[in-house]
Amino acid sequence: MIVKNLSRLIRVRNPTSSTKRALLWSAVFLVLFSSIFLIVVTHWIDTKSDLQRNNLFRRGWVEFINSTAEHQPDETLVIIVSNSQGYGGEVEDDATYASRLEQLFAENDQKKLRVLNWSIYGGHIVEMGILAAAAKRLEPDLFFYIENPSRFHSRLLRYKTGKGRSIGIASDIGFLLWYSEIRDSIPKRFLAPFFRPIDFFEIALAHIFKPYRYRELLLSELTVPEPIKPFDKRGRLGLWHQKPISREKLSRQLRQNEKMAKEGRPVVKPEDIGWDLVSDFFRAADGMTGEKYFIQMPLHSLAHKQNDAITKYFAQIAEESGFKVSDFTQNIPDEEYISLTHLNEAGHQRMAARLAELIKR
Amino acid sequence: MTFASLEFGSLLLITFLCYYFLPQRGRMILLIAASYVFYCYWNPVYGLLIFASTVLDYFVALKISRASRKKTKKRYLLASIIGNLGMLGYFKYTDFALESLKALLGPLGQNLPQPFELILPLGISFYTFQTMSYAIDVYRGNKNAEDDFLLVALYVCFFPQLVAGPIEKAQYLMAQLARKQPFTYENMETGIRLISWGLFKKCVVGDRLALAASGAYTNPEMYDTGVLAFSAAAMFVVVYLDFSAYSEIARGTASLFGIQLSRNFNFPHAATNIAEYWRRWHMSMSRWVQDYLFRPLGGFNARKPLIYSRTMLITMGLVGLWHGAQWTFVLWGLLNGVSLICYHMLYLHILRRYKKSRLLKSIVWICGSWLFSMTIRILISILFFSPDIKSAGIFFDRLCLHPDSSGFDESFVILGAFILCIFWMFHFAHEYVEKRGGITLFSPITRGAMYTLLFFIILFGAVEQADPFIYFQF
Repeated sequence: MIVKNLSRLIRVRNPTSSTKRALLWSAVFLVLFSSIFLIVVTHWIDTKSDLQRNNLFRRGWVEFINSTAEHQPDETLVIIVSNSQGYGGEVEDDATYASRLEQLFAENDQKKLRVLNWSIYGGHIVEMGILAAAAKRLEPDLFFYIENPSRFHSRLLRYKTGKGRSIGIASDIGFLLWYSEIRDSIPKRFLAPFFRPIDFFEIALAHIFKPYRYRELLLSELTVPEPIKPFDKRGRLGLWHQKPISREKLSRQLRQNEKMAKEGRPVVKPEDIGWDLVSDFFRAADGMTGEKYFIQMPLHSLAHKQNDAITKYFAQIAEESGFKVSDFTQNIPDEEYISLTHLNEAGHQRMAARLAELIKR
Repeated sequence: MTFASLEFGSLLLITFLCYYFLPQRGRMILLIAASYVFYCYWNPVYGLLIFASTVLDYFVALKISRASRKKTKKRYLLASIIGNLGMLGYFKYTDFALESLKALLGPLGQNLPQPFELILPLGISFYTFQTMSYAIDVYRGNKNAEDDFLLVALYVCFFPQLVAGPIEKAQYLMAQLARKQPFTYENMETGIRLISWGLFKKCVVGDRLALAASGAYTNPEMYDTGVLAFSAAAMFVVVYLDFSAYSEIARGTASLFGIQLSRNFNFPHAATNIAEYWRRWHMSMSRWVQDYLFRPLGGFNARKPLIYSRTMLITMGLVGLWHGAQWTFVLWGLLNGVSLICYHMLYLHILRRYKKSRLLKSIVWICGSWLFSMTIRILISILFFSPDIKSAGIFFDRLCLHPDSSGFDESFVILGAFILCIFWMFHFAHEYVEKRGGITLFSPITRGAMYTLLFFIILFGAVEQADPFIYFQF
């Protein structure tokens, strides 16, 4: 009945062509579907889902901020900022080295230790700088920055080429920039990738066409960066997830690096490095009350060959900026890796033990 | 700027909203400006290359048309070809030539300069071919040289088809660009339909399938035969989805401005032999190659099979090289050439005699030849996706010569088959509708519902960040 009346309404007002009517029907359906969609999804989020949205309609950092806003006086608060190794996409949430570290202290009945794992899959120097600035408002007792300096250039290059924004969770870092004290304590150029015209367009779009705001939310649920495990009956990782790299391939990578070094071509070209960005990054943590550590992350033995100049530079700048420097490069045996950089459960366990030793010291 | 981005959406919306309020001259300037914004968004410097190419062919075409002597015309044409191919050759093939020479000469090649590590300008292979065809057509007398510089500039840089075709002939596209196109709801509906369908193919199906299938090509030694077979079949479909999606979005975008671009694909995977496949695949490129390369080199001659085979191999070798500056592409082109020659020989000597027989018309024969030619095409396509010949060799070896199914996981097959089945259902329906008069067969209310449904599927089913179109790199 309603459809019939609507149809008549459209036909009376626009009797020109079937195309025109089809386009008008599209508009009608768009409004109708959007309204139904909004009612259903909003109801689901309000009643069933434990997901939360920030004011940019993205998932993630609201829950993060809520859970970390208070630093209890009877606890030692540790914040870890790292890359995909720390994120531990290949292991369960409670098996990452950050979780293991917390469990180790709980088991030994020592002073309560709370560890916040702020690692980002495919993290970026700018994002990590913002996280370092954000960490200050929680006044952690210990701040660990765990990274591989010789791989850091890729993130710098991404920044320099303007492709600075990562996908998924990392994009939610934009939310942190709504806090003025975080915004003020990082270099202005760190802000640039987060304030592009297209972002404002996207936010405007989410305001005008409300279902758009749920796009990223559903995508985060469905895709990035978890593997789609149900398709693998034997509990192995999905095809698109990182698989253990063969020794042949690891050797090939190393041979390639060695060849480049012999030919006088460094793995990372110094001119590609935004050296001043590195110091800006460490400076973003200035004013942090607790101890700050820069840890060179553990690597598979086939990836030990470092770009010495860059590693030394990082260590030097880190020390100048008040960080204590530790080298964990060779701390984990090869069998506890699933790739050149990613760890299995045993590797995470060992890494947690090494961090615990460092904390006790 | 890629088609599957908000940046492109904004540019298209602004251009479309302004376009129909302007006089013809203003429209041309608007489209040229939009095209340069579209191209320079990626790298402003390389906009100069398109401009250089435009200036070159504008003046060359004028000189050719004004010259009275054949020899002088030829000289100007040569200048255009050298200029365009020189640019293409420098950016696309210099490093390839240096690396190949070094590998060939061994220790003697140590003194050769290091590769320049040049960045390939987006779509250079496409717009170079398009501008060259203009100069060649003027030379051949198929097209009058255009006095209007703006029209030539728009022909070269028209953004819907700038970076990956369809490669349009000047006489077809310029005639449309020169005319003031009236606004019609039909064009608008066609545009919206094609853009939506292209985005669905690319972002919802193609990129998701590629996510599952492309990994095996980088490390074929890590995967068992089942996964490799799935990856080979899936990537073969992915390249079609990706490229045909681009072509459809291009056609849809042009349609919004009242311009009709030619169809680039005619359901190639339904072809029952390799010759038919090439008639249905990347049709604008096939036409270009036929008109400007294959026929001038000798073309098809049933009485001179050796000359025909030579011409075919040269043509397909160059088509391979056009796709990418790598030996894998050259070999891919040559193998396609060999299979085309084999098919033509088989057709001339055997199939032609029995083409009216019941056997050749039977469903068993049709399905058998479809399956056979599909298998051959998939096997050849391994070269297309492999990073180098060695990886392609390992892939082929593990797939065909030494199959290893010890770790075969049928979930890949289920997943792949599921995605492919869903897509083919959509695709067959789409083709069926196209063949029988298009979307207007449906009532307005059904069409409205279909567009809205497609919009929501794209909104929530598309990957978060679409991969660049595969053919952008060529």
